Amino acid sequence: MSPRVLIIDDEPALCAGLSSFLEDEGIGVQIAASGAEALALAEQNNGLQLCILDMRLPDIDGNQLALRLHQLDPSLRFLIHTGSAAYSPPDSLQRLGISERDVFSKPLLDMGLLVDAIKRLLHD
Amino acid sequence: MKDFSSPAARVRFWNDDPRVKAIVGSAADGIIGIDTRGMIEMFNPAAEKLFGYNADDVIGRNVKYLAAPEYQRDHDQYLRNYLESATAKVIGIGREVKGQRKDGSLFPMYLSVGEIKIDGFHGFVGIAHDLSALHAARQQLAVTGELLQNIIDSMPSIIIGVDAEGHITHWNQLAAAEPRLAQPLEVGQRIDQCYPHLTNQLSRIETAILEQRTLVSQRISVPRDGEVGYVDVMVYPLAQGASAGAVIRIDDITERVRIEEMMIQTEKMMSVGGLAAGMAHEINNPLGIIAQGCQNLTRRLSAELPQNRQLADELGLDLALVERYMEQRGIHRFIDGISEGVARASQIIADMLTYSRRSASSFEPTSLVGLVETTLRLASHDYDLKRNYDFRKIRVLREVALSDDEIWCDRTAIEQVLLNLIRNAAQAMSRGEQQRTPQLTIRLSDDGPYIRVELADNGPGMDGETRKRIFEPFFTTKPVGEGTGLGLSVAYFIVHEQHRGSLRVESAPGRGSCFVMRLPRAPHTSSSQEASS
Ligand SMILES: Nc1ncnc2c1ncn2[C@@H]1O[C@H](COP(=O)(O)OP(=O)(O)O)[C@@H](O)[C@H]1O
Repeated sequence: MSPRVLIIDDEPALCAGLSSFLEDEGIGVQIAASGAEALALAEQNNGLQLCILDMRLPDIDGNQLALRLHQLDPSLRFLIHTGSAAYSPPDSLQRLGISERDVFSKPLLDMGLLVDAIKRLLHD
Repeated sequence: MKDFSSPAARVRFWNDDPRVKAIVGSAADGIIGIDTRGMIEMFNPAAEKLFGYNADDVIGRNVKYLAAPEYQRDHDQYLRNYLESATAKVIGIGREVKGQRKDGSLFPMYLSVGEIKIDGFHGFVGIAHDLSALHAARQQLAVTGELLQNIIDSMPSIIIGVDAEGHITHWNQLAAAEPRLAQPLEVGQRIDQCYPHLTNQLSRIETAILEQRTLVSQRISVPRDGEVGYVDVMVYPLAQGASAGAVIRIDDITERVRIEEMMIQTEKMMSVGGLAAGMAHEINNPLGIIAQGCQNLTRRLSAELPQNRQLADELGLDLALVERYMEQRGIHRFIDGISEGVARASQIIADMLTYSRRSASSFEPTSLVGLVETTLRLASHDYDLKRNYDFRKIRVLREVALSDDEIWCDRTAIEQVLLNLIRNAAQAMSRGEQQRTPQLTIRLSDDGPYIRVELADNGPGMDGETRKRIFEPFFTTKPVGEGTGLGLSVAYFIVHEQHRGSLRVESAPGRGSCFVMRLPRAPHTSSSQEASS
């Protein structure tokens, strides 16, 4: 079964670019434009394995969202894709196993690195 | 001729005439009569008071015991010399000597000695004028003068006293040490002859005295070590009268002006940083869209991806032909160009974001020598075809004189600073018609609680205008696309704001550039920093 990844970002063009690249890699992709949408999708429990998470969403702070998603499904893994250069995961997220190397700054000049990280996390 | 061979006759000579006796007795100065061997024969009341002896105590004794010990030894010789060859030390003239009182205390006196030779009588008369009071006054004056001089010497300003015409009357140490002096200070010299840059103060001196008010000229630019320095000049009028004049005070405020300028720089950077922090997110998103778009374009136009081949087959499209078409029309060049543009733009945003972080994130003990070596290695890989410099052509000299090379710093940030300085030097040295072998000297030395890092290149250097502005954000002399003008301002910010060190440059056209960085060895917290500084 191909891995299932949820891209959470309120910028549609960015989601489109990312999902195209991941699909070409044979990765199944879903998209959520807000925290509410992401939570709804996770609740359906349709085999999501990993979330690519923007930190600045219209309805909820990215850190909060990660914690809520984790509560819904503790097996979910996370990659952070953020526009603020100085981001580093707070303790609450580090406890979920999210570390500096799971953080990717926009603009993502090489999406190949993101693909590598997805493979790393899902094959652990 | 009378006979003065008997002592009684000689005593009579001194005392017989009542009028002479009255004069001698009422004189305010000590008057002492002696014979040719120096024996005292007459001692007036003033002498009694001066030396503390009664006349009866001293009459018949040698006069030399009234002098300070250092005069006593040679006294007999004086008299003999005078009698034999008429060489006079005091006789017939007078001089200042030291007397000795009965209690052994010494005092200054003016002693004049006359010779008496009449009617067969031969002797000398000495008149002793007490100089104690005069000496005390003189000494008081000297002490006061010295005190005043000390006071004006201890002032942290140049202080020069002038008369109404601007002729120098006084000055303090700082004034004499002033390196801009056209000629040594001298009383009576006009002030502008010694300080040419004060020429236009002459009329102000006059005004200050005439109107009895202080005149202040601020931020006058003056030459200083081949650069521009700044001084404040104040003219204080002295109270009018016989000694009408003024005091000129000059304060060197170059350092203050420089700090102010640097603070303005920092302010600018902080506001750029604040702006960048606010808009980074907004800009990074569209940049992400462009960057990802380029990557998808490249990949989806390639014949290697199975999905591409499958769709092409379905559509009856020859992908190999498409690739050849793109090759010949240079499509990939455009796409690469776009990617590169994005990379550059995102670097600019990242640089600007540095200014929004006053403190660096991760300080750790670091070997500075190691850090320099790592950076040199990085720089040597970073030969850049487009900017056409080749680091391998540069001779790198290292001069390390450190007791201990460990400092507390943010490794990556200081590496970024060093890399920036080294790159700039390399670019500068490869620019233009440089004849010499490009040479970069890196010096590390102790500097109190700091480590001093100097990076000196033998490139073209820079003129004063450039030098003044290099730490400004976005100041560059390089063509668009080659320089953003952020490198040095970011370096400045990292060193000053994040590490509480300092970064400055010494440079002149044709003389290369030397960047001097000082980094504190020990960690700082913002509060302990306040306390220790
Ligand atoms: N070693 C050097 N020799 C001569 N000029 C220099 C040197 N380093 C920096 N400069 C000058 O300072 C300017 C600003 O440098 P910097 O802030 O690093 O921006 P950039 O390198 O992008 O121009 C440069 O454009 C150059 O004119």
